[in-house]
Amino acid sequence: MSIALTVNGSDAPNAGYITWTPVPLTITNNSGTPDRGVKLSSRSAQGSITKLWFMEQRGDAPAEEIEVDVPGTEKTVFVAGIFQPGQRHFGASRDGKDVTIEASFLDGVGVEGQLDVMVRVRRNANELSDKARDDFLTALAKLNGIKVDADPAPGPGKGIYVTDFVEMHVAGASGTEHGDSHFLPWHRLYVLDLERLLQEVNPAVTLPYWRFDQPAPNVFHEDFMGAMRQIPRDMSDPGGEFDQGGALTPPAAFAVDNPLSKWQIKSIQGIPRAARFDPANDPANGVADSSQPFDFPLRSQRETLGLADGTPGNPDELGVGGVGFSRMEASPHGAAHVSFNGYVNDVPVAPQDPLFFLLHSNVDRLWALWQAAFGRDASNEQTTYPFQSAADTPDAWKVVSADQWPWEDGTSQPGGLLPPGTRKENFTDSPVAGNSPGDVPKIEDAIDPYANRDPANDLGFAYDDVPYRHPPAPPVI
Amino acid sequence: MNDSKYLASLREELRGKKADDTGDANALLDIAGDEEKLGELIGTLTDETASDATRRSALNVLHAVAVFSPVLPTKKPEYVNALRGLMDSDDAGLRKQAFTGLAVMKDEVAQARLREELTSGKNENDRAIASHHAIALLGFDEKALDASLLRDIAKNPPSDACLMEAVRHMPSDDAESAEVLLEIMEDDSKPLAVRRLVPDKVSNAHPAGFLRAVRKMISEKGLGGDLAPYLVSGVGLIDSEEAKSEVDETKAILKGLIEDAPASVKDAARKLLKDD
Repeated sequence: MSIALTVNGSDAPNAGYITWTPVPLTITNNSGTPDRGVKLSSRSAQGSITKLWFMEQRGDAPAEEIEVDVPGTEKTVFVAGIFQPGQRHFGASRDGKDVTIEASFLDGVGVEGQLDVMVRVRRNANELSDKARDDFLTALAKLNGIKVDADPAPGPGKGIYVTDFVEMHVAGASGTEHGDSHFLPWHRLYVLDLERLLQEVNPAVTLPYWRFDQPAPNVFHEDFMGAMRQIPRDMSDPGGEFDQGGALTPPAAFAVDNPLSKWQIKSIQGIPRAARFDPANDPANGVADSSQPFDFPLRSQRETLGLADGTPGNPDELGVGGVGFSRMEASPHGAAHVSFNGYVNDVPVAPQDPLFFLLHSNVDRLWALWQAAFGRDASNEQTTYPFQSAADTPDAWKVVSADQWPWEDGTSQPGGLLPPGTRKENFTDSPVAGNSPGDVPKIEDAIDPYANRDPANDLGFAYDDVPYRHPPAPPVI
Repeated sequence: MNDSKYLASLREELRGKKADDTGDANALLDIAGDEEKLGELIGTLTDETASDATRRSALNVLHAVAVFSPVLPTKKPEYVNALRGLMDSDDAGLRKQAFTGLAVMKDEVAQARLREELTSGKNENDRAIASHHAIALLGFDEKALDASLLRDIAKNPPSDACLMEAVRHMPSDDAESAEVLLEIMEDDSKPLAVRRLVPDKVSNAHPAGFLRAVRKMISEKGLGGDLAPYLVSGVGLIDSEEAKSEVDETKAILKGLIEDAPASVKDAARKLLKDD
């Protein structure tokens, strides 16, 4: 073929992954005749509804087809997935490269260049295809140290998931990670670091989100995150006592061919987990104690997004502590955690259950949705992030420009822990995100992950139901 | 543009629906950030005039806020002291919660007490906490639970629940533990739920011993037993070059039997035999 196409500046197979955010698409004319015009369009694979936008300049209104002059032999334009509300995964790819970029010369006949890509976004875990689910589980198991392919494996419970990701979310780092507005950006970086490692195993994988305010019967199943028994929501009922950290809770059940059946944390086998709701039919629901009485409900998505919705008296700011959107740390986030007995209900051990990352993917999605709805992605605005300088907080690690532990060469709060495993100055790279956020991310690197404000901010991930803000098409005259 | 309309409709849906700022979610957030209120709850734990039910409820609230409270970690010394005081409560539920709260924090006083209970020789009913719970709680700290104690329990478990926890927590790196685990795996009188944990634990740590046991069990019982899928799955975890010829020998035996095997065994064998 006479036209070569590359996305994200690379022709490596693991670069052919895009999101809703426009990324560079380079057209190289190898026909031997320079200065030819090219038409770009996309073709969905059979059974796929995924489609692509094209833009000559990044800030142009997108179109499903464009015609561009290619002066000399090379030109870079931009491509993005088409956000399609009402479609499966909002139009994102199901479980692999299912859409093809096609290029043809304006003065020629037929397609002269093509490139298969995947519109790769984080999807609702309850709606994953079997392949997407199994790809995710296999990649996750590999990071646990479980042998899943011909590569050498350190053994269950000894992989980087345990040495690094479990060890960075412990009591000695609770101040670094929780309790204030920095909770959201820190966890965005945390889950992204893990997701990029999953993508090193299989580039088609993303971290799915558990939509905890909706029933998720496909998630709580032996073939996915495990089947588990139900216990009372009321902690004062027999069997409903709070089992902090889950040592006294039976493990979830997995099919023998589910890689999670071999999950270990160091030597300890199994994932203890019991739900305070009917996992087959109901959403998570927090916890209660009728003898107190108190009731800690889980906020719905609408209630969460309404925490700071810009109405008078409810300023649309991330806020601090008890004001603004940051209240979501208590509910729905905290309420989701304590909707179970198990590892997942206790901060120091919660990531020992991989459900933790699906829970936090949803927490992050809610933040991303709120940011998108209210344009809260300018890192230098206090309504977006309140701690703009040392004058705003006595805690240096919370300032928007602060390097974040464990990737920085420092110690955690309050325990003074050193970075665990291999995390120091080693945030995982991605072939689709340039050098963003570098080896040592700051809070500000997490604020505009879709690059709505600056292309350099693109972190290479997205959610199925959170779109990029394209400019409107010009009026038709 | 679909994205603009989508976001606009989301904003429209949210406008005018002011979030309920008075709900219990915020009440708990208030407690989580209030040093005085947390102090009162911790004080309830040591208040001898408070009923057991009141103290259990205080613990429930403390547990619920622990996931997101920035203040509770700063009250650790008082909290730990209060929990230690409850280890000898007359109320079994309070004892269990106290030991749990302390074990999660890797409290050495609680760990010593749990080990003491495990090795005391007391009747199970007379122990401060059930033995299988004690094992599980010590498991929060890998330094607190040594392999020799787990081996002793596994060889003479006071209950199936104890055997389960001993096996779940037992490291497989040392030859002694692997031997104990393999004996359990081969013992039909032991619960299946325990035996099926063993293949994943020992197959790669001690492939030679594991594969010998697998071949012996398959030659005696074929692939129809309930343990067979787990044995087959365990073979798939072996990553040792030294064991390659034994793995190949085992795979050859499996291939000869797989056609008549139950679906569960075929599923487990699918990946293992895929490349052959």
